[in-house]
Amino acid sequence: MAWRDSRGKRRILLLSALSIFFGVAALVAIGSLRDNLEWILEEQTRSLLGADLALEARQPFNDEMERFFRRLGGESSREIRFQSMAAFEGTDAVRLVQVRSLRGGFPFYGAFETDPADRRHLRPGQAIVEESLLMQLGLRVGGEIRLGRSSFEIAGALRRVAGESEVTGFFAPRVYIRWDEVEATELVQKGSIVRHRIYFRFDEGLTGAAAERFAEAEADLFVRNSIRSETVEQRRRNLERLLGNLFGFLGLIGLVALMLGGVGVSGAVQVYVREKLPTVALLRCLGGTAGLVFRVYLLQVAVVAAVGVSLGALAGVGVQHILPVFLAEFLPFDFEIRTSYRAVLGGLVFGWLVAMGSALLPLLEVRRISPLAALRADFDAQKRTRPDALTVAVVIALAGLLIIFSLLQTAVPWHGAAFAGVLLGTLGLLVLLGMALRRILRWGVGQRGSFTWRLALGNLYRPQNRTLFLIVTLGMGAFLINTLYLASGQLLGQVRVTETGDAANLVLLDVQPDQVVELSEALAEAGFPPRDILPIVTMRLDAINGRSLTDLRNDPEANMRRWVFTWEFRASYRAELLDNEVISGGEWIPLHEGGEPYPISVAENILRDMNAALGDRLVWDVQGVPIETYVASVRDVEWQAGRQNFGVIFAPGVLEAAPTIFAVTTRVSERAEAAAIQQLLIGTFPNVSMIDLTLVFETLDDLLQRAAFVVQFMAGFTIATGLLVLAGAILTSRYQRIRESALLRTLGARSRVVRQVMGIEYALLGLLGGLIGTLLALLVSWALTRFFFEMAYSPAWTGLLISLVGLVALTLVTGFLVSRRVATQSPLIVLREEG
Amino acid sequence: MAVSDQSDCILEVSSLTKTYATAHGPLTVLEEANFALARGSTAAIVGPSGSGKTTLLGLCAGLDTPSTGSVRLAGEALEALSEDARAAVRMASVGFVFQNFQLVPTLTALENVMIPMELRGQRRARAIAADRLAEVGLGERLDHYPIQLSGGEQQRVALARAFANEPEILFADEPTGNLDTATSELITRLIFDLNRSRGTTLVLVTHDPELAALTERVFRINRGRLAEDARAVMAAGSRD
Repeated sequence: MAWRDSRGKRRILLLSALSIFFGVAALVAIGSLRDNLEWILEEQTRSLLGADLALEARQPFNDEMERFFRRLGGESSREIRFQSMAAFEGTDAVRLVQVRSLRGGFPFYGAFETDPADRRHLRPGQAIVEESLLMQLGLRVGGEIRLGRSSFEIAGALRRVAGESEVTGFFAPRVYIRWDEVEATELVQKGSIVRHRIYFRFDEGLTGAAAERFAEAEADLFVRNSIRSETVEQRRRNLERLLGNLFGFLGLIGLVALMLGGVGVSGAVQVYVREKLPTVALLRCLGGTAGLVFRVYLLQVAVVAAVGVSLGALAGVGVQHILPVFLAEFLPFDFEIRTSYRAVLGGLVFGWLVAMGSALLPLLEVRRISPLAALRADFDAQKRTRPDALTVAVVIALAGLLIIFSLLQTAVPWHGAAFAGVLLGTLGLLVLLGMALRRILRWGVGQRGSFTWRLALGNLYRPQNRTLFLIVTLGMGAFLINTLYLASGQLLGQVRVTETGDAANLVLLDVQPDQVVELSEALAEAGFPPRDILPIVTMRLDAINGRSLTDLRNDPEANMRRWVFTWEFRASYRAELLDNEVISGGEWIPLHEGGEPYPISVAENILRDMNAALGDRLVWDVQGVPIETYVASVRDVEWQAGRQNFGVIFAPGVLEAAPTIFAVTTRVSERAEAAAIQQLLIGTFPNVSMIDLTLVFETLDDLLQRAAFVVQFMAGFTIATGLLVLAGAILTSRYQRIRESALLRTLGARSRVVRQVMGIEYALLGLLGGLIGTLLALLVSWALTRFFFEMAYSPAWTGLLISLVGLVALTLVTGFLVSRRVATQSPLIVLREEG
Repeated sequence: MAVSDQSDCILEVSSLTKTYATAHGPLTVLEEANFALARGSTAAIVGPSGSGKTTLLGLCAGLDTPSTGSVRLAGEALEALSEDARAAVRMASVGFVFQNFQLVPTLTALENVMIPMELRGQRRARAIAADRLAEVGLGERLDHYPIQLSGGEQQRVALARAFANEPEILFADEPTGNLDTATSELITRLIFDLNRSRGTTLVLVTHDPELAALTERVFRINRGRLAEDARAVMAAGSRD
């Protein structure tokens, strides 16, 4: 009976099934991909780091550390890394690269992929160069690369090193040379920033005695020697957390598509029930109980929802193969996609529950259709009743489903709860605003305006209108897309703002004290006078308020960020404040002429991570010499503003005698000028490396755009659902529109008038939904920017305007596509209907 | 024919045929219909269901195009006009009343009556519409929506709308078909009063012999063939 009854109205049911298609597809794709990554992390754990343990220091390991390495046992391999400028034979190109040199068998696990293969062990005079750099410069294997005073033959292109993604080489492409050839380059000098690393492999992994010794060292030895460590387990946990956050976020976007699909299901079933009203009334007249009739329609909807979610799950299995294409370069491993049946089942069950919950809301009305409606068509239309307990229960269950799923998606419970809260709040606000809008229209239309306008506006609040439903759908789509757009735009905008204006955009690093004057003069002669000459003194924190860092490291209540214990701080000294910082506490001391403790100024975020406060005593180890300081002032630094700054600033008169290297900044207006400076450096100052901030920002921009694309791709599912729901809503009111259009044309209206009425109606729906969604997006993105990113808020108004116009255009196009032939339908149908 | 002069003729139908292509070959629903109506006259088209009444009415009002033959309405040969041009003729000269009233549900009674005038861009549409509604006894229900009105009231709104433009000809398709006896009588009286007071030609499609008998001429249609009722012709002749 359920099947027979659906005859003739199956199109509406199909629409309802399609509404959830994209949502389920998104959830299955994300869920399956997430499971795949979990499996890979499980299977390839050891290759995530290439070793069981990696240790890193900013200075050569001292004797105490060497003794520890011997005690630790296992197989070890050493590496040094530093940045340098590299020149390439046959081109004028000079690039900042990261030079690496390995001794020993690293990587112990996973690949060291080169082209040609197996070039890990170099012959004298050879180098391996990042493949992307070779491609960018049009260089080939066999060419020559110059680093400092030495030249090397390019023996191979570097594709992948275990534990690193392609992104690793984006900012400073990797170049590997032999261990015994580093010195001859003369790039490593006193004060140069060189990272010394040692990798360990243990037969049983980092377990047993090795693990115990490591744990002991972590608590004391590493803190005293500023050793940063990473175990394969830590790397895995970090990756899991990172990927968990990413996929949680993508899953939440998919969830929005599903919820929006739920709104679509609800709308389609509402129309279906309305059109079935005479049948239901007749069935009741013929003796069918309310329960029986309800079950007939419940069965129809259950089957259709099952079809919709099944199709969506199938599509999701296909889509999961597309996403890795965009993500591959961010992941430190290769992987093949397998279908996760757990994710498919999850998507099916959750999608079906959402679809059924959404369908139940209008479907419950079936129980209340009186048999009297068979006699009087307007009987039920006139009846208004409050929602019954079952309806309330379904609403609560739906909200519960949303909250549970949000919590499951996110690693941090409050993130999921906040998301569900914002989503439910937005939905509620959209409903309230939509209702208010209908009232305003009804009240405001009145007798003013032209006939076409009044008719179009009237359609927005006519009986059985779909205004509220469409405004919620379109508004939700606009809200989501614009929130993503504004939030990512805020981050990208911060990058772009630094490119503009008159700020310095070249930073020359590792300038030795005896090179400062000569380099400055050379720059000035070339037409690029230095903007800032920044002294840099490396130091590490020894104690806070009399407590050693080792002591604090082992105090669970110290509440300090882990990085502080082993960080090598790069402090500076100057008398003036910069324009990208303000004093938020204490007093800026421009000159100190007394003895210890010396006044320092610390950036707010650094002080927070140290869990220290204004006035606290900090002891620093300045390359072997302890210096006692106190926090005289706290600065609020705008780190994103592009101008160089330092976390810790001393007053002049304290650090001048300490071993210092310098950074020099200048500004170039075009790429060719930067190339000229690069040539100057490589010839005269080979140890000085240069960071082209414009290039860095471009790369960062490119990376963010690529990352944003993944998010936009998923958001596309929401938009697709929104348009589908919109098309469904228009399609379900198509018959009524055709009838009205035919009537108007019978009364003498030209088809243009009918089109105008439809055009105004669709445009208004798009505009109102878009406006409400955009306003809510502004509110949420403001809150995100202000409280989460902690940045100044400057929304991209042009983009918002374009998105609003785009939404109106999409609504219009969808509306007219679905309503085609409505305006030209023969008026005869009015008469035919009479017969 | 009861029309003596071309200028007196509001509707002239000549050799009108309508054929539809079906899976079983062409289906002729109206065959070689001929008649002419004088301005201010009244006529009824009667016949069983499926006989072609609605097809004929649709063709006469320019809602559909004939397969062959011609319809001249208010001096315009409809077959030569586009749909929009035919709409313009309807707007200028034609009024409609339907069995199911056909009011726009989003508009009030007053706004429904204003439609034809607003489509013409006529001034004082609101005042005129209010007058028309007062004429049909709905002066107090101007701001009511169709759903708030009874069937009889809705048909009176439709009638006020039909006469709002002061049309030269009114096509009424079963105007009392959905109404009770008392309301039917009221609507019938209103239609004929307006016909008399404004000289509007009246074309009624009806099953009701009593209603048909009130018109000057009665056309019977059966299986697509149109014939004028002889008694009615004689009656019309005696009136002429």
